[in-house]
Amino acid sequence: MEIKKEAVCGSLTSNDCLVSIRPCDNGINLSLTSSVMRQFGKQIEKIIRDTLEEMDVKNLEIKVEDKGALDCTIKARVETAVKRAND
Amino acid sequence: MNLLDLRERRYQLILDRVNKLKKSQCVIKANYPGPKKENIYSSYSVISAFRYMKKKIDIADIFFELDDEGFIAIFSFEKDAGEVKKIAIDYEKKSPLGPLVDIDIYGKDGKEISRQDLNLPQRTCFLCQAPAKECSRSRKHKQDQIENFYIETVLAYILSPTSSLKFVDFVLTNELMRRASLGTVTCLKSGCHKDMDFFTFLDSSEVLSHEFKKLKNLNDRSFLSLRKLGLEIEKNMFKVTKGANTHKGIIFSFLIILNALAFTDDFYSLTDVIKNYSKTLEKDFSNLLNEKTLMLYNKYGIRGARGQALDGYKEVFDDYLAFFEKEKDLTKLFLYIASKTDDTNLINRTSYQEALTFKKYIRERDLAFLEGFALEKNISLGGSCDLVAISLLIFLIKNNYKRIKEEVIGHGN
Repeated sequence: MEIKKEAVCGSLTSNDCLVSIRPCDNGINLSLTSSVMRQFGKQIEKIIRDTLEEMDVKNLEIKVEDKGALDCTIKARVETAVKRAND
Repeated sequence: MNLLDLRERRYQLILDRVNKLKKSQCVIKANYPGPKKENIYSSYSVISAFRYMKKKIDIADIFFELDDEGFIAIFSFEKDAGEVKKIAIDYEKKSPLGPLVDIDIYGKDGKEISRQDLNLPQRTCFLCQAPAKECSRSRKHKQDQIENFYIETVLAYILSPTSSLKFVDFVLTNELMRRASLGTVTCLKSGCHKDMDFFTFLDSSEVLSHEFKKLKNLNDRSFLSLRKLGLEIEKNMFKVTKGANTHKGIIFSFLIILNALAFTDDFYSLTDVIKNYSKTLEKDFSNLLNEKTLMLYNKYGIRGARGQALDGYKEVFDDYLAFFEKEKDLTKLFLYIASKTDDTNLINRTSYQEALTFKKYIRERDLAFLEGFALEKNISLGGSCDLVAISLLIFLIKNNYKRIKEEVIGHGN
């Protein structure tokens, strides 16, 4: 899926995350902050990358600010953000 | 809307409020697990936290929402956001219902104030004392385990021996937690009423929970004595509501039901005891009543609140209670009751025929139509609201018979 424009999804409330994406042309540039970075940072990064791969997104700049969201929430937020950017 | 959409929309709403109102915002919501957070326990924990914050700081632009994320209170304040966050943390930590809510504070820049910002330790999980974030992130505890803890905490609070009957406040505030108004006051609307709103009901509920405590020391449990107490409670209700009739019907029926506990040994005899006890009310229909009430009785056999007591609240025990136990949803219960009962408030505001039509509409039409119709016709289904509260009270008594009897009547009787 192609990232055509900037898009945002989610919120900065507890148990949620805010995903902001925009187009770029040199692969996947991920920046991640999380209130549970130490324990879950690796796992969160994997979910984000897996979701992008599933959606066949090859180039984008993605910023995820996580407030302790569950895996399913992170996945859903990334998916919706990508869809919004493709619209 | 699913939870994620609700959350995103609400976050946007808060940012919009910060921008528009130029004030810090406070959001209180239930810390309840799972996808459907709206229930009587979570609502009451939010109400309690809201009352606390309202007492502690000056608040403005109050806004309530009720959806699958539960009952949510949002308001602005002028005080320093960090100071308010400290007050909130104190409540979350020290009050019995504090652990059950999240009180989020957003500064004038729209950023949420965290405990870290104030150099305070992280919030701990109410089940195991580990950092709460880690427990919820790793789903360490099963959902039903958290739910049980939540419900037990609320029950322990509302049934604890204090100077008021907190479970009465619990029932009366929850009665307002309906997504359907049909002309009545709810947490979201004032319906067709100009003399009272949600806050009038909150104050009235609190007063009644104190007043009903007088039942414990009642030496004379005759109907006459109960009538006298009822008039006294009514007077004190009108004092706080500045003359608005919030709970007159409730005072009547709650006094009869709660006092009947003195003459029962278990839940199942309650309805018959009420029936026998209320027999005196039959005499009212021969002379004491006002014209309207007598007309309804003579023409249609409708006896209103008196009739419900005379029947031992049969419709509640036999029908509404089971409906609520199955659906666990106050909005559905309210609509169910409204479609079945002869609501004298409704009949008095319209006519018997129109009331029948409206009851038929409740079964057939969607909520938007019903709300519009109620407002246009200036209808208010107060009688159905009373039955929602009575059903909730009976529900609580059924599941906590001994504790409630002890609180209301005590050992002596």
